[in-house]
Amino acid sequence: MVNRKQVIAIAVIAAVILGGTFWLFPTDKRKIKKHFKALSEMALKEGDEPPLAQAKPMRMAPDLFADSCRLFYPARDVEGEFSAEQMGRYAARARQNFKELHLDFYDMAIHISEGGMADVSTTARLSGLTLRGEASETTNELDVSLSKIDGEWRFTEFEIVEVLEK
Amino acid sequence: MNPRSRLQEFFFPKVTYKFLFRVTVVALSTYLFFGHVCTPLFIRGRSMEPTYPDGSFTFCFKLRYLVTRPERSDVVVVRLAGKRVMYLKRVVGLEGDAVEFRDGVLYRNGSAVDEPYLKAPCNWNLPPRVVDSGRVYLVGDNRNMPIEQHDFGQTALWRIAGAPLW
Repeated sequence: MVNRKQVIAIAVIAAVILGGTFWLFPTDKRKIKKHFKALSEMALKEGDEPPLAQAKPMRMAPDLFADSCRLFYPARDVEGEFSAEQMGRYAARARQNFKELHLDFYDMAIHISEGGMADVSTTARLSGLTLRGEASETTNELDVSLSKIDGEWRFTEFEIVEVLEK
Repeated sequence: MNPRSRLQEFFFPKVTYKFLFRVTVVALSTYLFFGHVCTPLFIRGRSMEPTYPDGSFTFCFKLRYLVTRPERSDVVVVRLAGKRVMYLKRVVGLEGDAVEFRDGVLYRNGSAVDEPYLKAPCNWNLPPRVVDSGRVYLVGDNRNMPIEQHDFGQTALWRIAGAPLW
């Protein structure tokens, strides 16, 4: 007959095993969410920063973007393929226009298809303070594609969805 | 029953089937009401000022357009990738309407529209555009910024998630 202490011990062991499995073997969805967190981290700016920190996007870009990443913003007639290096350079340049910058993602719907591809629909909110001290905020719906390259997820495409068509 | 035991019973109730049933009903009703009928809405951004100031709070009444369609001058909540972050805008044109701005004045089907909710000056100019079928034309109440910096335009009716409760 199993007593109460044994039941509790079994439950604790099961919880530890489940928790350990969850953390040690993350699912692709968790890896993709982590990838978006890294993108937020790349954009993050909290006040004046030393030159080394200014180069953060350049440093992080090769781990975030594929060799060729497509940007598509139909509302502004922007479309093009950019290398990871270019993406990092553009991000670094954009960050220079802000004192503070935050990039957050909400409502992430991840669809993973066969062949190491994933499509993500999400809402991105970019907020910050410009160099002149003005508050700046923009919110957009994004369709993002990722590919698994050498076992790691990389961004391959960003499309800014035109929710409001002028 | 003395006050102490009443208090004790309130904070440490006996866990009976009746109590568990009551808790379940309250939890379920709260989830349904605040999750699917009246969701809390924190206003961030200045696009609907002065009607909805930055930092204010309301609820999004999601059943508002269950059987009806938005009317002109209604304030609506527009979903993006999901319903955690949404736009709050005013309907200024329905399908088939021709919408334009001349020196900051909104014209609908060639006639100037009286908009008492506008408080700040506006100098926008936008050539007329006809609202497509199944869409509504939305603009914020705060037009005291360059037209390029304001998110507005037509959007599909399916994106209308509800209306603010007040």
